[in-house]
Amino acid sequence: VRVAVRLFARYREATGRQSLEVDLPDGGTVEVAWAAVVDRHPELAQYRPFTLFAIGNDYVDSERALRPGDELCLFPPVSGGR
Amino acid sequence: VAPGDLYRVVEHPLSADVLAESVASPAVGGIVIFSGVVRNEKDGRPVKYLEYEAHAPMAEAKMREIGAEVHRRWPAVKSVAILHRVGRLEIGESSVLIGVAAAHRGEAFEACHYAIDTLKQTVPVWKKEHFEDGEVWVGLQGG
Repeated sequence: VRVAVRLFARYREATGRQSLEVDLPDGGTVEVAWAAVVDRHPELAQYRPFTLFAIGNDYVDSERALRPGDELCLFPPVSGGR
Repeated sequence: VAPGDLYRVVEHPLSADVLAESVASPAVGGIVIFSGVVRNEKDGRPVKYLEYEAHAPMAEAKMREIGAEVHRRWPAVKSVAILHRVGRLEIGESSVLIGVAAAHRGEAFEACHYAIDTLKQTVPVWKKEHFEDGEVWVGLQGG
């Protein structure tokens, strides 16, 4: 499956891009997509433990299988504050 | 979504007066407004200005979910409005406004507190602090 990936905030700045497309084997998961993105942008690898994933308007976990037409969003942690 | 409810990500300055008007109605006895404001320092380091970025459609969807949960938990709440501003914000400007209108003040205070705490955890908005000598995206250090 071919999947669009969108990058936000720190990830957008680190890579210099807002979006890219990755090709995954059928049944490829969010985790597999992350690995494909890191393959092209190794500077993101260090952020894996902090990253949140979303598809559409919902958070998804890393085992979610991607479907054609999915747009996967990679989020740094949300802003927080006390 | 109740009448008067409003959930938006915007690029213009926020007005607490406009927000209060939008949640007001004749059955309301108390309106609580929370305004999150840009502070002039971070851990003693002077802040020049902040930049906010959002995934706007998802942020609005998450704010709507917060409003729905408020109505479910506090049936006396009549209206909820949540606005988040994005772009460059100067010291003293409001980045987020939450208005909760209820028959009585107790529910309005509780619901507003719940709404801002939940927003900070679930709404996809990021903040970049600009200092005299650098800039940093908030939220990464320490996870």
